[in-house]
Amino acid sequence: MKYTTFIGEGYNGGSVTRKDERTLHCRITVDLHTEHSLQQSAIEHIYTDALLSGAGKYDRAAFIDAINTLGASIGVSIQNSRLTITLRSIEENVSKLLKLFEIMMNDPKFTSTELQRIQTQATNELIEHKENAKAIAHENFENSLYGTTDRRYTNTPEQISAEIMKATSANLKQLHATAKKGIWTVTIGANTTTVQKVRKSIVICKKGQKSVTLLRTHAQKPQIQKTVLQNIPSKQNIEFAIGTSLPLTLHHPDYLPFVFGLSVLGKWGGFTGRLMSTVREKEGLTYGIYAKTESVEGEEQGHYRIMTFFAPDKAVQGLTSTLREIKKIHKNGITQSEYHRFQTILKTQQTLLADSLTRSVDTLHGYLCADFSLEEIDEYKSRLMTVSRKEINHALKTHLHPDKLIISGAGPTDIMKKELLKIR
Amino acid sequence: MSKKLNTSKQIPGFTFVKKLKGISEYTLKTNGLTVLHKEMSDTRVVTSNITYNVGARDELQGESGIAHMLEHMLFKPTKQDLKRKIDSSAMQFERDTGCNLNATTSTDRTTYYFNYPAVYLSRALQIESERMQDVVLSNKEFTPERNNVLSEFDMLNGDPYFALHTQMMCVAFLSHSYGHETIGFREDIEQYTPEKLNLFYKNYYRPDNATLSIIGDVSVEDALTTVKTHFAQLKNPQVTIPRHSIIEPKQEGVRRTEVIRPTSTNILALGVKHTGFPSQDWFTAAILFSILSEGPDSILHKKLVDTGLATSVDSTIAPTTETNLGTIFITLAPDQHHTSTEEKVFEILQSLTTKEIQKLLRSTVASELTDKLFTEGNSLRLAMNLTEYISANAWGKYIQVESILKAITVADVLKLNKTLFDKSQMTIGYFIGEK
Repeated sequence: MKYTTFIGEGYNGGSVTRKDERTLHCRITVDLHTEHSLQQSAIEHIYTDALLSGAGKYDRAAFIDAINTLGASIGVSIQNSRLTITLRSIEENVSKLLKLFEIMMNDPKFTSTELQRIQTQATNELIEHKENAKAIAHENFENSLYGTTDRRYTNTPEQISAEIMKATSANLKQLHATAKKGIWTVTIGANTTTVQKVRKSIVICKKGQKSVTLLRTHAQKPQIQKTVLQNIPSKQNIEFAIGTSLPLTLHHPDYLPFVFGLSVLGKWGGFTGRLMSTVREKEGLTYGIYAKTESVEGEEQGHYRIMTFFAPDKAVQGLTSTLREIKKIHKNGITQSEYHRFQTILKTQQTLLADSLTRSVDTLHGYLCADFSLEEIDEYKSRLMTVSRKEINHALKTHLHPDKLIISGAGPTDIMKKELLKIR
Repeated sequence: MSKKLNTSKQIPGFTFVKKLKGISEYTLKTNGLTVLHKEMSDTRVVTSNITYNVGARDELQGESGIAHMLEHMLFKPTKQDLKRKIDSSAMQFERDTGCNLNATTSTDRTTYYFNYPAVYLSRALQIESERMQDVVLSNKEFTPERNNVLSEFDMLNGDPYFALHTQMMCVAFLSHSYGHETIGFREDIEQYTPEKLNLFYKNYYRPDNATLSIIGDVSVEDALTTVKTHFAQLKNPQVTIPRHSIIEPKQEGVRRTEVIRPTSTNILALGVKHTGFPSQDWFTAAILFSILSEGPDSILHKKLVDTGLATSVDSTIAPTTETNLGTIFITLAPDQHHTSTEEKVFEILQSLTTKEIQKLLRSTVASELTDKLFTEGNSLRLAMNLTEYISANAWGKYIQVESILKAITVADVLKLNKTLFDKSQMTIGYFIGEK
């Protein structure tokens, strides 16, 4: 696989090419965030569906059919005010797919009929959302860390539903204009000919658009210790999000050592982290427990989060064990053997990327969205290999803050409420 | 389909069986282990995947989920690990190297995989060979792991779709062992003992009941030589592999069930009995399910979700070798009722037109073929996809998928729609939310 980067008018990005590759996997991201508001949040909530609901001469059904007939897909999602469009196709149909993508970006319809459909559908989905314990634990956790103007703040389903019903086609058009004017990050996985085709298509979409850099508001709250519980009696397990603010950007010298150290505590996926070895394997208290940093960006500070769940009767024991492991790694740091082991683990993860074009593109896209050049990516990766154990343990000691954790639980919490609130 | 049976590479110790589209099949002479190999060069990555022909269907009453529990135990120490004084070489492998590993159990098979840099091939295969017969099933390892399985059960059971599906399977099958979920019932899980697990392990984990796939950046010579090093000494037990051949009694009328929980969610589920995988009818049923319920252009989505009658529509159809229950789930919008939605759905199913099916058939087949091409560039995904065909003892069918799908006609889909959604042969479930 060959990695390259490029810069164009109103966009930048990179490609992962493989000779004789017969598929295209492309991601395009644009940051829409200025200041989080309820209205903005509601419009973003329905924009993803609206964008796929008819463009040019196509009504919604015809547009979706035109994409599906190719066996291709255009995915649209928004997370924390970042719009991401995913294009996927076999090589033979790339040109036709790109034509549809251009029509979608240059001439979306946002008709009132479709808006009404989306409003009803979105409202129904938000009612369902109230039972999603994992998502609710996560949202309550982030709402404890960020103020209402921050992009990571989530309004209640009722608030968003009410605002969605007020949305107009003009609101959608305005958001779309913002999306077109923003700087696009484009990552393409394909053969070199297809990469050129995608780049031409991006140029067509960005033509005549004067790029705008948006002023962004961040509102990280001071760190405090807090337990938030939301009772959802229909669930069997209590979902937890545990962690605290991480007042670092990607470029802070402590960030990478912290990521390394946090991997030792609870590497996301698999069984290698300490939390999986102890809380799951030795103690049998949960099926999965992982830790990672989130929403730390080039210019934005984020947090770290441990994600797990426990049966109500094991929740006290499970939380106690989790906190014990956090305190232990905070106090003693990682061991020399863990340090060497995780160097190998992180190196293997890099090697395994070569097995999947999709994962390679997604990984490169993550770096490019954080404004890394290829050289910086290489530096970053090699730094992951050369960071010292002392630096890692210093970062854990400075930023883990076991005394300032937010513990957010959602599920049948009322059964154990008193006991859970006592845990520190 | 490639008609050419490519010339074999003779590898000492193996019998060549066939080669189709770059995938070769061999049998290890000493014990009958089946080995599949496909080279994907220049990635420096290999996936090895072993599939045992044993799953939830092989479980006895009162021991539901034991195949899955055993799958968990294969990540525990072997006799060799105890001598080495390490926890478990499978887990140690991941912890030392960062390779990807996991396992899955279904009704018909249990599968374990490692995905790793090619230099670790020998280590991965050694672990796989040792844990085929030498895992130590002691109480010390078993008790906490059973708690993890109970935790997994609770995680699944918290999902209303799972809870309803579990009940529907029980009702749909009076006798056949497909009538329970792979994870089993909580009450059964609580009753397992290491002895029960051990008996199951001895019965089914043996070279002549397994297929090992090696896909990635390794030549056939290197792959098979390494297989021989680690697997040739394994022996099959003298006992015959126990198989339960059960014929499900004839269904004489619609079967219904309900699950009631304190929630706002309400679901209508329609279960139909489809033929086994990988028959032409199974693929037609899968296409029909997709046309009805997958994506915003599917028929039920347009007529129920777009109109505000439902919140979502989804479906599941498993690639099992015998007749099984495929299910369409419709999550009701607030203020909608199960009975009226059920009537509406049957109205829709009875009025499907050639025109709408034609369009969706074309796009569904195109989408499936695109997925297949994406799969083929990734050793792990290819190995996982092949697994279902291996389980059905028909991996060669994987090569034929394109022609199978392209042969499906609108008439086939409409005919099957009529057969499958004959109410008297269906199982209908209501998940009722009571606040």
